[in-house]
Amino acid sequence: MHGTARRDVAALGLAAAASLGGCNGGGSGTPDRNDGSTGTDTAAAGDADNSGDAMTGDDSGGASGSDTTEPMPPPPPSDNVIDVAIWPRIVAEGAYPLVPADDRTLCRRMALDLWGMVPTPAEFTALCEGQAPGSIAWSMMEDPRFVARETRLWIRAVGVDAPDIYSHHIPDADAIYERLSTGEIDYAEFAGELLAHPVMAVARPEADGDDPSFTIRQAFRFFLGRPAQGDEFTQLRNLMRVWARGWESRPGPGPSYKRPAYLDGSLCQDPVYDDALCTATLFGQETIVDLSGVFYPNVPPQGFENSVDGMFYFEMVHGGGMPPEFQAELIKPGLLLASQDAFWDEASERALSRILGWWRSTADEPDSTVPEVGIALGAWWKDHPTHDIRELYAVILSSVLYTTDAAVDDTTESRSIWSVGPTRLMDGEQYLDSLQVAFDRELGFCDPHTAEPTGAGAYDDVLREPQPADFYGFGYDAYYDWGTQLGGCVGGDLVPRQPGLRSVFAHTDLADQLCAPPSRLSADGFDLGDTSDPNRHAAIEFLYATMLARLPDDSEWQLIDAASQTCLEDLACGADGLSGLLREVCGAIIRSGEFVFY
Amino acid sequence: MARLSRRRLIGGASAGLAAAGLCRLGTANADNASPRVTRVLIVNAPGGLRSTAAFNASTATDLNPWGVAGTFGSVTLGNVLVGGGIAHDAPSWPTPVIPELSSIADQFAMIGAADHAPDGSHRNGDHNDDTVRMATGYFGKADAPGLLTVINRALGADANAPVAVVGARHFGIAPGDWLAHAPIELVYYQMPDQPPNGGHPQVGQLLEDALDQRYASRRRAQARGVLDSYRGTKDVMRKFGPLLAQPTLKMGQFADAEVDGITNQMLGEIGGIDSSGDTQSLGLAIRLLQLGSPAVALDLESFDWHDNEQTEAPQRYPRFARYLAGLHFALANIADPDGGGSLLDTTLVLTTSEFGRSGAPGGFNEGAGTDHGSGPGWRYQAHVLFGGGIVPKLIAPTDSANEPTEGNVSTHALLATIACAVGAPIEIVESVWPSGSALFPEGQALWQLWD
Repeated sequence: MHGTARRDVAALGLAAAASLGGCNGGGSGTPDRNDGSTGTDTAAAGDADNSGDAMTGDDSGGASGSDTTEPMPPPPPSDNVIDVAIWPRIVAEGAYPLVPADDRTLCRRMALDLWGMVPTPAEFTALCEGQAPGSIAWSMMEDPRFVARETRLWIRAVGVDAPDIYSHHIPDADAIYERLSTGEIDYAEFAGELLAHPVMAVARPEADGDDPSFTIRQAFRFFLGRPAQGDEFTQLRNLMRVWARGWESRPGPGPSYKRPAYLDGSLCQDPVYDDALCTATLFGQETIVDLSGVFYPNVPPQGFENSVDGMFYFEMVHGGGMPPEFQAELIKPGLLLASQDAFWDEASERALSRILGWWRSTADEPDSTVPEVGIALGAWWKDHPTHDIRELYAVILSSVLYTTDAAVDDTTESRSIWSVGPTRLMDGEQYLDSLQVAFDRELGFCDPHTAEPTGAGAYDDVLREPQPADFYGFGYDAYYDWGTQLGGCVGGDLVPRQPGLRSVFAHTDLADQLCAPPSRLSADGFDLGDTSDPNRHAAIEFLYATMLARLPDDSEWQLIDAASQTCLEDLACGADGLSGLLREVCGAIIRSGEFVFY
Repeated sequence: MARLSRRRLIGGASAGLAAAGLCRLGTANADNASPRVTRVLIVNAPGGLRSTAAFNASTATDLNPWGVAGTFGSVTLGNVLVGGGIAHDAPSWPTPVIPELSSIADQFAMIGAADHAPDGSHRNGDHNDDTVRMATGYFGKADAPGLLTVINRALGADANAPVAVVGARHFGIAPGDWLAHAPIELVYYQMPDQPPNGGHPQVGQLLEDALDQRYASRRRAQARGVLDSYRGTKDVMRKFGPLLAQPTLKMGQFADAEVDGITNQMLGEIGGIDSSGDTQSLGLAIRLLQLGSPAVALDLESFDWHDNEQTEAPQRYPRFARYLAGLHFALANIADPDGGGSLLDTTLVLTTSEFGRSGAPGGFNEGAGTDHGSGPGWRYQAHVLFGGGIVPKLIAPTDSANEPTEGNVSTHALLATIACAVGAPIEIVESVWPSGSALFPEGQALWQLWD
């Protein structure tokens, strides 16, 4: 949770950075979307008063300017706000100069994070080779795969799954995530729309019925990273009263309409104003959600066997469209949350966690060990003139926390987590989607909205995108089966699932099944009958490049050559010659930690 | 049942404990801290089993509209559970009839009032929240492992069969540093047909191990630990892979496949009624225990009726009763492979659910179901235990409103007791469920179950 104490710590870090690098209160560093260089935005990253206090207590080793015998530590490598904030720690640790990840490694890392899959060699050449991190990031974020990945992660973050809500509402929210991911709406508008949608406004445990307490608590946790304080809970609840859940069933064939969201202005029952006005004074701002006149007279949606006092959300959106003036009222609570500093802090923390993996700062977990970075980024994000979330991501993706090489040697292995690049574990979908890319072979997909297999119950099958009858040649939903074994395909489920033995079995099974045609294990037109050393080396280099984004090093070649002899000359891999060897190498790679982690 | 001797402990599957601290959780008596059982089976009833109508049957209609069948030893069984209960056939067994639950219930112990969160940090009845809480003892603690993960860390390496979750995956939550100790998740119809092919030992496996070694050596210490865990998990796969591919673990197939005279057919009969998935899962769980797994967690049925409970429950609760009766019967009739008595003597069985149900005026809500999230019927669960030498007794009884009359038991106490009883060392147990915390106010294991 965010608190004053952490902001003080952040000020310490920023002040130290200023003293070291001469940056005045922290840099800004929005990577330019065209060339990847840092920009010139000078928004302050820290609180001036706090920075002043912190300066006097700074013992991080920063130079004061009066001691000329001490070597001056180097300045931060850029004015990226994260680099500036983290730099004092890196200097204190003596971890500079940092070694940047090479182009292939960074390209693979970024594609996995932004697309959820490894890049092809052609994509490496087109998007990554010789490019600055910011440029790579923007190129990838303009790809539809980024939108799809973002949508999946937002579904998981919002954490709603049938039957906590009428299942039709769940994919309906995709449009909000997509508009955010394409820059069509900014992050404040995102909060407004999300809190004006059933996935956030009414999705809650069945036992809660029409009690909106869950929603209110979730709104504070999700957007502000803290519980409601004082009368904030009551005030936000007042504004959300219009939302309720129906208990309707639609006659005839088709989906059950059990628990669809509906809107009912009469639920406000404000004794002072009209009974269709929901009023509150939240964060010192008097706000009215005015639904008067919209619902009266009440006309039940066509096809419903019984009526409620309001209008079904689904019918409004998909029937004639949500009236704009009505939507303008519904988004008010979310926009109100966006008026708070904590809102931008929390957005920054969420982005850091999403991209770095190791970042921890949620309501249920301890604050990050480098809070000054979160606070500095949050301050920058709040004051930045635009709030396209891709800008926030680009800052993180081009910072040293992300772009540094993750490899260490004997002298650097004990470095802090912020002094090396991230090491992350692929989730189930990342793993399978990467295999699809590497093997140039369709394996299928699982629905991002639900953890249920097709036909299971709460999530309506009519909402699913169908897969071919033979499921890409497997004859069953292999993707879903593998995905669940790998801890993926969880829909809105937030239960932490780490891969254990079941995942390792799945890796082995995948190697057995996929390291053979029709998977592409060699370049088009490659002569698998030629077992000469140059040809064999070329084939193995192809596998390493497509799957690991690197080539074997000298010591690996020694091992590979010895194994090749066992395989080819001793027929240990059967009589398939080079094909048998490639199966073995392919299996070894996709079962290896180097592939599973990134 | 006799307490396990130290010699057997050190010489048997729990040899790793010799170097670890005994689980003196709440006792200064070392002898009193020695492991009580060699195996644990968690029978989880997902969805929120209405324990006020099942094992701790209330006379209050709001909590138990079906009424009370009777008190049998320490448990009071509800009509919905055993009212229509009948013995069922198990023709392949030497004694071909499995008695009904009420005839063996006097061998059960029961915790009448297990509190979700003694520190008051209750959530509002969300399945996800409370399912994790049941398995880990915590709400929203991202680094909290599940009970079976804890047991696996303590005992899995030396076991003859893997610690496993058969559907009850929350008991296998393994965040962060616990990753390597995640129990395997098994599904009865997804057992491997053959041992996993991890590549040729001199080709694929050699390259794989080299890749792992190279990658791990180039990572900072903390990340390397996760890599090492992953490699350790692969070692476990190589160890148990051949076992898991055996026909004796393929329930519903290979009817004659047997271990010590217990065939798949016999295990398929203990659930009675049908050859349902739950019957097969139950058979798989018992087989794993027979083969030497220290712990298995199992989901049976589902009990979340917000509507239509009135008509559905009388169909499903008796099935649950039959499963428990069949389980008791099977364990009592399978010899402990370590010698001595039966598996029932050395296997502790515990029933769990994420919570109870709130009840409603007249017994049901307007949809003829019940909800969860408020009231003593929801908050205080009853857990049944049998086997493993426990003494039939009632701990933390409740009144007809399901309010505890002699205190309650924390989830932490329950989980710590299970872990200690099967032989997890105190260092591990205390690290996960520290005694004396607000969530573990008793500060001691429930050793009285064996006294």
